[in-house]
Amino acid sequence: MERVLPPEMAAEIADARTTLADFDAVVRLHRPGIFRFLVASLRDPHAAENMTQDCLLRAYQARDGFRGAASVKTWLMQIAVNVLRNELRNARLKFWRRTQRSSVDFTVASSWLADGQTSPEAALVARQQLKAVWEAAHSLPERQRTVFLLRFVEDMELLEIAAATGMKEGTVKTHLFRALQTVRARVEERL
Amino acid sequence: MKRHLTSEEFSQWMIGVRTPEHEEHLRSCADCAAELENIQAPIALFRGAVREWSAEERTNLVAEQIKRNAADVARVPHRASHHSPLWVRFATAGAALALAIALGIGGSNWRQAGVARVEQERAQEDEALLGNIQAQVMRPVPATMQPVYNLMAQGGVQGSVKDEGAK
Repeated sequence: MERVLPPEMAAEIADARTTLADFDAVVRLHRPGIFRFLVASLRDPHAAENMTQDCLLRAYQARDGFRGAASVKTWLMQIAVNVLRNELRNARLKFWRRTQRSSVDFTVASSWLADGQTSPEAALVARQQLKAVWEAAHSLPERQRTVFLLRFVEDMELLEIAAATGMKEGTVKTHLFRALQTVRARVEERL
Repeated sequence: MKRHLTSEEFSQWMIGVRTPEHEEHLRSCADCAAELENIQAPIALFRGAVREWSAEERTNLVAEQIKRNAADVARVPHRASHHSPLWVRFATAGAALALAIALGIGGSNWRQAGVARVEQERAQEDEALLGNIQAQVMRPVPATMQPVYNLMAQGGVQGSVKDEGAK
């Protein structure tokens, strides 16, 4: 016997499928965010680009199974988190260890420091603050780093992060809280 | 809420766990608002830097891909007839045209030489014929009468005839 969905759920599924029908538009809209999350996690642009493509390929292959329970962005981030997790677990690649050795130097990263400092002193302080967060973020355990980046770089809500990472909301809060405490402590040490 | 926010409460606020009491206190307490700003500022810098860096890296990767594609295209061997520079194509066409013209002129000369040779042969024949006619006309005795003339000359008539001819 065929299961009948409630009208509102059926409508959501229809909307989600309509959104995914134009997959080119989905790629154009979400690819930068996926790449950003992965490159911030790995600090390796080439690896991040490969994994972004892998993520989008998986999304394309799985698009018929998308039920619209979360937004497309959350669904794609869920795939990205899984791709990242699988690669980090892969003993052959060891992305994180490799990228820690050849990681992007902070001097390079600080060149993207947003303008707006009113004086050389303010610019110096901003640079020190950025350096502290930069180093702290990449010293975090994997799960803490993931939720930290999803929250503070990708601006995702706690429930979205929970959906993307497969954690419970309470677990996300715990990881995020610890990550933020670590980052704050590092910033305070510097200043 | 009179007391200031604790360090943990600031972190709770930052991660999105917010209460109306904390919101009210942050609106009314300048010290706590400043402290919150101090916590938010470095993370906002980090957010901006990561976004800029990511966008830059994406651009660099696209540029690298374009360069690789261009290098691949340059390495692929190609047939000159399809990809020769324009000047080579024009030079080739010009040479072909010159050859055709030269052959055309050569053929014309050859034909003209043939016509001239035939005309010359005809002129020589005509001249020979006219010379022969002239010789016949100038003979004292017509060719058909020459045997009779020879007999007469042998029988003594030759002198008188000869004399008459001399007259």
